[in-house]
Amino acid sequence: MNKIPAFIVCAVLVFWTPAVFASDTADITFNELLITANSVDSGGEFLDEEPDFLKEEAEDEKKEDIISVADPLYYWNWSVFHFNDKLYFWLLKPVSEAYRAVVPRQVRSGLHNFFYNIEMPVRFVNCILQGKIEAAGDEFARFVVNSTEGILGFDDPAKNYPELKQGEEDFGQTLASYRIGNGIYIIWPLLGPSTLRDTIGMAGDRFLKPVSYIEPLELSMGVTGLGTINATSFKIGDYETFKKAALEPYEGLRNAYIQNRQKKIRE
Amino acid sequence: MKKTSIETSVGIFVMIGLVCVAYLTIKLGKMELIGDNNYPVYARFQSVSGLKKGSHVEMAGVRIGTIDSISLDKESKALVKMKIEKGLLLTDDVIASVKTAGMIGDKYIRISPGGSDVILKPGDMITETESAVDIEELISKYVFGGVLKYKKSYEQEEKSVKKTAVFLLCVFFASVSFSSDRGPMDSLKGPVDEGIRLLSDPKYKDPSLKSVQREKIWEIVRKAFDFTELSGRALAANWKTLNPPQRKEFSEVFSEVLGNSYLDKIQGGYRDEKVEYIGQEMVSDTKAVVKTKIIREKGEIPVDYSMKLKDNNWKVYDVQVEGVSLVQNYRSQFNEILSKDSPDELIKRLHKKLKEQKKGETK
Repeated sequence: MNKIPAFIVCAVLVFWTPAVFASDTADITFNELLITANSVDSGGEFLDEEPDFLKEEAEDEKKEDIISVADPLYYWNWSVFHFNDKLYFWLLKPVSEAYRAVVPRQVRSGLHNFFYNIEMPVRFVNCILQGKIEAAGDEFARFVVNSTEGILGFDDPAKNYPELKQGEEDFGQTLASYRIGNGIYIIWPLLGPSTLRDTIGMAGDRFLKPVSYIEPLELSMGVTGLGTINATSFKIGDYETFKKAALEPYEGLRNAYIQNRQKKIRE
Repeated sequence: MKKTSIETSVGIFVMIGLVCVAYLTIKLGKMELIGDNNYPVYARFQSVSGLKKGSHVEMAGVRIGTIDSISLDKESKALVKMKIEKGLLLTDDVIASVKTAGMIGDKYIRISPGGSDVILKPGDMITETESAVDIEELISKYVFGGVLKYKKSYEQEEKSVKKTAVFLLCVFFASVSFSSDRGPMDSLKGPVDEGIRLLSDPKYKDPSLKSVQREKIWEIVRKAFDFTELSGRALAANWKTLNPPQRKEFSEVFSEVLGNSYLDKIQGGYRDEKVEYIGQEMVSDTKAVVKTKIIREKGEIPVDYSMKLKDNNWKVYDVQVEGVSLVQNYRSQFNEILSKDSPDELIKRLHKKLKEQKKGETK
């Protein structure tokens, strides 16, 4: 999942945070709305021109700084979104389903643990870069326990020590903790939704992933592919549910990605 | 690679290995996790005043473990780590309460047995807790008329405090009655557990009964969620642009679409997933966030429910899955549609979506 053509990363080097102007406009409409609204209490909740929740949402929006992201590459993103969508339904899903049918659950689970364990350097280094020494210690301890007692990481005995917390730090989040904004929204073929910042993050993390040092390149890609298929075999159906629930899947995915990243950065 | 660099890397690797061993020895050795006859269980309390490290954990008066550590967690609650003797199995619905031995004796933790058949694993959290009751404070609160506020600000062991409060008031002032409303977490637990019971009921394995099961779950969901508020919040500023009949229609179709999307997933994909309640945060007197985790085959999904107190019932108005708020996500989609089309068009698209979903089911 980490093959990013270096030239694309180098090509774009401008950051900006679009959140400010986006939430500004929202505020204006909300304020106008609050000023002009005269609430009609009689006649049920649907007649109410200014129900409580509108006010609350307006306040929440101010408090929680809801981030939106600029999308100047809309046409590229839109086509890649559809490409990835087809890729999932026509290739990844059938392959993962077959894989799930053939490979026993214990093996898949072991592989999942193994891939998680060997990516420890990514999480460890980023914990340190974010100054989370405690979390870095936890990552390290987990790695040690799982690599020894867990036989090279195929088992997960560290889960018996709940004080060793499991984190999901990456370089994109590290950059965010240095107050670097999202930049623009980009969807990559195969890799899925990302932003300029998170793309640079992915490129940085690549250096810390042991898998990318495998030679030859074909083998490295094969291993990455196996990891992807293995991971997908545990969550077949999730993307389908998302698509089924969404009216505008493109917009829905973009919003979900940004919200999810926002949460991870907060943690 | 040259020979020297291979040697260097082997050297580094050995060094790392040594550091690992040292780390293990220190960290795990101190925690007595190897070769220990106990297993750790956690519990969160509002207050554990008087409880000490090394205090006893008792069940039916028999000592079953000790307190290993007491610390303050992120939400300013007391996190107590208990060491329970191996071989003694606790179910996930046991109640941990801080008790006093005699009138002024030492504090200890009493575990009251539960009835569930889910066994707590090492490191699990006991969700039901009752804190040390500060009698002095309770009385003074009553004297200064602060009992009602007190009731609201204390969440998790609200009930126990209330019970004690009621008891005390009865003792002292004979005829005071209390209204009892359930907290947000309990209001959520009821429907969720009921839903899980329906899902795991072997009776509904029969495909012909699937629609009956679905209908029943949908009924529970309808009671637990406030779909009017949810749709209103998803529309946000756009609420103004819809006229009252449109709002009503929108809210109805939208809740159907939501129900259809997720009921299928729940019904089709339920594989003994477990729901774990982490806790609740009161945002205000009438708003709260209940935090849960869905434990799946591989990994966990954090799910937070935003709830609001309306007519004495806590109802869900937003759900955050992995930090993604349902309301905000739909709002972005609705904004996108309404920036190009009319509200009527939006409602039409919702109807169309519903039809698509229904078609998918019959297939």
